[in-house]
Amino acid sequence: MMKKIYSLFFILVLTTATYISGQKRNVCNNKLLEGFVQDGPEYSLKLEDSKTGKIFLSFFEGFQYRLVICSENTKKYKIALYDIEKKVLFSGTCEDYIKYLDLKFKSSIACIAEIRVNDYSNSKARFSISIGFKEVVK
Amino acid sequence: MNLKILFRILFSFTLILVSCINREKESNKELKVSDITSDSARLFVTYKNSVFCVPSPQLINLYLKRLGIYPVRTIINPISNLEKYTTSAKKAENFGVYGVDLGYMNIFTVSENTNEYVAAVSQLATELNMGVIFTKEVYDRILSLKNDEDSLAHYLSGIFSRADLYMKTNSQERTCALIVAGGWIESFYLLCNTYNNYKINGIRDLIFQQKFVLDNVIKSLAPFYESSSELQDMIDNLVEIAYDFDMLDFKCSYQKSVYKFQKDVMFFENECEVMNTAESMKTIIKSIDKLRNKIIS
Repeated sequence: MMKKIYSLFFILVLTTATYISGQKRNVCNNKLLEGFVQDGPEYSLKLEDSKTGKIFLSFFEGFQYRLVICSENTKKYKIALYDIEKKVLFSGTCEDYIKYLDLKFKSSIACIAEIRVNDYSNSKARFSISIGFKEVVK
Repeated sequence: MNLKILFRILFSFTLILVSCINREKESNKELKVSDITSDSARLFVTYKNSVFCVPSPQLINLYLKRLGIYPVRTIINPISNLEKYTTSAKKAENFGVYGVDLGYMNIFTVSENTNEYVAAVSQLATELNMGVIFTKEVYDRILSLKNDEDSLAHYLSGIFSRADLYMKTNSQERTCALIVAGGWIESFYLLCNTYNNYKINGIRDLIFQQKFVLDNVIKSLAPFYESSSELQDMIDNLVEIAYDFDMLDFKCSYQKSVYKFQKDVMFFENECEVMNTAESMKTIIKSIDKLRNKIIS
């Protein structure tokens, strides 16, 4: 009887631990944009049956930008920044849910930021994207 | 081990497990505005795994300020037009318009008309069921910041972001889309009008770069094309202007290393050139003039 109870206890602990770890969520907030003017709303991106998501955005000369990409449920993902002719401007990896890039451009430019998740089980990965800007002091 | 103690432990674990499940369910209830902070963005706006960012109109206002260009009172949407906006679509479009005008008039100094424009924005907000965002406290705060244009820019950006999130969370995406469109049209109109008066190359380049912003405005509105005749009309008009931009050709070149770090900031030393501009500028300015006057009439 005691053996059965201990087994049941063990299964219950294991189930609870698995459930809680599966529910682990990162909280995305805009604290990283302190000191910047928020450029437009906070955007949300949910990958539907795809490992890749795209963010179409513009950067204007004379301003410094902070691009913040935060995931609630995906710890590791790749980020790349391209111009409209698909030239790679930046490529990197986020290791812990949230990544931000501080950027400025000599000339105004339209870009595409691409997010790629590695693990196919993360095909419903969710991201929030915020952009802030501030004037470049010459 | 005492069986009673063991059962109590098992029961406690069950309680913990159940509370985790219930917390998940509670968090799916409709959010009230007091719940809406940037921590709680739960509506996912994705179109074919893509997001189309529309820059804040405040950026254009700040750009004009940097060039030392003072706002021209006579070109903004007159307050007397407010009484014409009787449909929710017109109200939404012109909420965006007046919001941009408010920022434009306060680029440098306090405008004697600030109170009027704040009142107009507040009235339209209430009529669009956004009274929970544009409360008396917000109204008073905007008026208190009118001597500090940088803080006002920050504050207005934050308020409009919260309004955007609130409306998306409360199924008012169509209204939100019209506000964004109205705001972009007004800021682009002010930019083109300024270029007509000053002919500064920086403004010209900023105008041409709006091609990509306009593409994003259209793509972010596109999912709502079938939802109302007003949105269809708006999108069709914006697509016409997008065609005017089609003649332009953009080319960017970079230094050998695409970017270098300047105090932890990636600085891209790109040179971007825009070609086939002469005829395009006249057509673009004429088109935005026509659309903007249609929106505010």
